[in-house]
Amino acid sequence: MPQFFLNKRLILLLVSMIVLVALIGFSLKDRQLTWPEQFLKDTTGFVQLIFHKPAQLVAGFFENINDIKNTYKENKLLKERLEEYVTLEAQVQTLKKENENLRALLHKTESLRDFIPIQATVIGRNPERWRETIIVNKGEQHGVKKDMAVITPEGLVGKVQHASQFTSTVQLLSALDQNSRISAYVQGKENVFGLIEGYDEKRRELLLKEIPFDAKVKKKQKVLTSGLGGIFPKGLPIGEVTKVEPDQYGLTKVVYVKPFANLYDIDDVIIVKRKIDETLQEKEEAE
Amino acid sequence: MKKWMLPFLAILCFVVESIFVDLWPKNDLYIDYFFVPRFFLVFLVFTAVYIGKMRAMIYGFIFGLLYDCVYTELLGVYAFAFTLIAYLAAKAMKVLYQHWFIACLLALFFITVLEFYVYGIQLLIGRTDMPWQTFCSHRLWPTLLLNSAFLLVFSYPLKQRLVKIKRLEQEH
Repeated sequence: MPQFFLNKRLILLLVSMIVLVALIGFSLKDRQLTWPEQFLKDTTGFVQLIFHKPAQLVAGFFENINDIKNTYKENKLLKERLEEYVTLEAQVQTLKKENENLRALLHKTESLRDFIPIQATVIGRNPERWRETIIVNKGEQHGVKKDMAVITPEGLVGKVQHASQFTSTVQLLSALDQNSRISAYVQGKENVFGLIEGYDEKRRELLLKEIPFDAKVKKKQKVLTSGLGGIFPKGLPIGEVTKVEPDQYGLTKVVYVKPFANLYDIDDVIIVKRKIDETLQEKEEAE
Repeated sequence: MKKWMLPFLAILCFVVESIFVDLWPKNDLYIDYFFVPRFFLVFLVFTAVYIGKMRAMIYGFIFGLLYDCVYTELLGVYAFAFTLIAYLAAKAMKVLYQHWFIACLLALFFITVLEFYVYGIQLLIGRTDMPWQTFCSHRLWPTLLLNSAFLLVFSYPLKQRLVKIKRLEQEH
């Protein structure tokens, strides 16, 4: 009899290994989450939210104490900046108005730049960190969809990997894989377009590839999203050029981009919904 | 009330892992080294040692599946590993002496096993190209260090709790 039981266990082990391989294969596909998964995610998200709030309060208190130390220095700097800000503000207002008027003249009211912000709070993180993802407390019910851009006030931090009903998973820029490229451009007299592909962990910088060899890219230039492929709006700030070098075949250039946003320390994010998609959807529904 | 103690502990360990990583100060140490909290695995091994094989396996499967769905989105990996580890831990206790310190060592051993297993799978599916040496120095050792610290502080109270739960169950 013991021989028989041993065999039964072995068979069970083998069967579960086959199921494991099948499941991994299934989850590697480019897919939407199935409803049981969404349900599990949302339920866990709710529990996480309950535990996260008090924990964050305690951690926030210690962080505040740290911040108070630097307050005086920062205050001095900010006061200097404030005067610059006032003139800039006035300039922006006039430019905005002019832009609106010109658009009205052209009968072109929609722009790739306009977006609707969805505020979200981080409620969890992938603890194993093979892939840097965060879980936020807004989902499809709030209008979040797969592949939407996720920003902080400083700049782009990632994109929505999967959205379930009440929570969604955000893939950070530091964990970009080959399948998730972001169309971007280097701002200058002539805009240079390229694709954000991958992340250099040593330099902690993003790689902007597919730049034509004769394009003129200099240090300190700003890199923004182009809004061309997919559902990112135009003009979200990504980072600053720090280094330009030819790629391994010498046919194109690779540009190192230092992100404006801190890609690790993230508490609150804004999920960006493009306005042009919204209006298109409304039109379809109206029809 | 008493009946809910074990599930509550399991959920607590499971959720705290994620919150721990989220609230950990994001300095260079965080960016360069991977301190992976494996608190639930510690709980699982202790459950297997002090409560029983069947219960530990069920918890392992359910929470493994949750881990897969919620965090990694790679189904089956942790559900399989946690169930198997619960089984093996219970089996090992037939040979080993049931002592708090031995349970701690067992937990550390299974954390190592789990790290290697997940590393292997990530390599297989091509999600990482981390070389072997980097894995050991930047992931395995920091993880073991963090979890040893956790064991040092919480393993004894956890053991006391579990023994109490077991005793209460036997009385009924």
